[in-house]
Amino acid sequence: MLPKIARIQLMSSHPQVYDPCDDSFALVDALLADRSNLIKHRPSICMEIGCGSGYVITSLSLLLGKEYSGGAYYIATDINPHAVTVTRETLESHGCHAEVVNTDIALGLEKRLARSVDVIVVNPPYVPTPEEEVGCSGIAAAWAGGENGRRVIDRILPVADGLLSDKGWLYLVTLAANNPLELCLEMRKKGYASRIILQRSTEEESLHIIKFWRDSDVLMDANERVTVNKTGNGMASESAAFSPFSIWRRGNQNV
Amino acid sequence: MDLKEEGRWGEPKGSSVSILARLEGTEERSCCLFNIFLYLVGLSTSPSAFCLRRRPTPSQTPIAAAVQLHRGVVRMRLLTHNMLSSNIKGVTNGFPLLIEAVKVVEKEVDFNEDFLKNMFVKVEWKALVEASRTLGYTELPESAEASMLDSDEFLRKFHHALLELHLEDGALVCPETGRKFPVSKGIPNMLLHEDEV
Ligand SMILES: C[S@@+](CC[C@H](N)C(=O)[O-])C[C@H]1O[C@@H](n2cnc3c(N)ncnc32)[C@H](O)[C@@H]1O
Repeated sequence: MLPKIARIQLMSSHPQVYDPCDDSFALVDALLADRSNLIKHRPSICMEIGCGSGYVITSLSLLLGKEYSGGAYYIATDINPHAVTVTRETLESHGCHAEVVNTDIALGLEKRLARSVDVIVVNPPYVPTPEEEVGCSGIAAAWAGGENGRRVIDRILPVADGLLSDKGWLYLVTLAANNPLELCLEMRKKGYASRIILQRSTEEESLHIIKFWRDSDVLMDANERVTVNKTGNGMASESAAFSPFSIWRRGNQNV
Repeated sequence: MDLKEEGRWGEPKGSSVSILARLEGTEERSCCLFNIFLYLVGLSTSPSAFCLRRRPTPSQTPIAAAVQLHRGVVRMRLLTHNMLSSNIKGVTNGFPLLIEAVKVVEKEVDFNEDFLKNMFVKVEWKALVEASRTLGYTELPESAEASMLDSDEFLRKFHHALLELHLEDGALVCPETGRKFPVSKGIPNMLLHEDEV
C-alpha cells in the first residue's frame, strides 16, 4: 500500500501563508525515501520548525502512520500566527494530530525538550534577500533568508542541536546558495555526520535535503582534527551504498 | 474523498508522487557524488547509513472553566503544557506555567500504552498533577513512579490527564513574572517582545 502523505486537495491555505511548493515536495520526498529507516528509528517526539501550511508535518505523521505502533508526539512551530492556524486546519482535515505552537523557532520549548527530540524537519526561509526582509511580518518572511539565505538557518541549527536526542535526526532543506557544505562542516564541529539525501534542480533553484545525525566518530575527528584515513574499504562501501540501485530504488518502492 | 478534482496549484506538478516519478538517474548520481565528496572531506563517517519579578496577581491565578465534551478537534493538551516554559530574559524558573483557563474541552483520544510509557519519562509529574487540577481533574496521584505503569487504572488516569483535557482558550502565565502567553483556539503563543529576549 502507498504510504500516505498530505493531499493538496485537503490543504488549508491563507494569503499570508506559504503554500507547499517544490521545496516542500522535495522534503517530503526525502522523508518518503527514508521512510523505512524512520519507522525503524521509532521516534517518540517529532518536530517541525516553520510548519507553514502544515504540508510537511502532516505528511510525516501520515507516512510514519499506524504501522508505527509506538505512536509519536508531533509538535510544529511557526512564527507566523496565520501559519499555525492553517497547519492546524490541514492536520485536522487529514485526521492527524500535532501540537502547534506560535513561536520563534522553538522558543518556550527548548528547555523541556532539550535532548529529547528524535526527528526534526525544517524547510527554512532560505532565499538570499536584503537583510531587512528577514523576519518581516508578511509572507516574505517565509522565504527571506538575508545574506546567502543563511540568517534563519544559522539561528535554527544551534537550537536543533540542543533539542535533538542522542539518536536524533535533522532533515534540512537548503539551497546551493546557502553553501550546504559549509553547513555540514559547521554541524560536524558539533558532532554531526551528514548526508545529502536528495538533490533536485528546478527551473529556479537547486535544492539539497541534508540529513544530520550525531556521530561519536565525527566528534572525535573534529576534536582531533580531520585526517583522511578513510580510504580503501570505506570508499568501496560508499560507492556501493550509492549505486543507483540503493536509495532511490528503495524510495521508489514506496511510490 | 476528493474535495476538488485538481490541486489548488493546478498542474499535476503539485503532486509529490509525480515528482518522485520524475526523479532521474542524473539526479541520483549527482547526489551520490556529493555524498562521496562529503565522505572524502570527512563529513560523513558512516557510508552505510542512509541513509521582572512579580508574583501573579489574583486575577492571574487559575480559574476553573466550564468543561465541554468535544469530538474531532484536538486543542492544547496538558502534554504540551508540560513541555512549555517561560523563556523571558532573566527568568530562572519559568516552569511550570500557570494555566488561566477560559475554555476547556474534553476529547476522547485513542488509548496507546506504548505512547504513554514513552511520554511518562519526559513528563514532569507534579506539573501535570497541578495542571490537571486547574482544569478540574483531581484523580491523579500526588506522585508517580515507573512501576505504576503496570496498573491499567493508573494508565487510564494518566491518559485522560495528559491527552484528553484540552485548553481551547485562556493563557499560560509565567510563574516568575506573571507575563501571560495567550492560548487562542488551542494554540499557545510563546513569542516574546523585543525587550524580553
Ligand atoms: C519556506 S516556508 C516552509 C513552509 C512549510 N514547512 C513547507 O515546507 O511548505 C518557511 C516557514 O518558516 C516560517 N518561519 C520563518 N522564520 C521563522 C522563525 N524564526 N521561527 C519559526 N518559523 C519561522 C515561515 O513563517 C514559513 O512558514
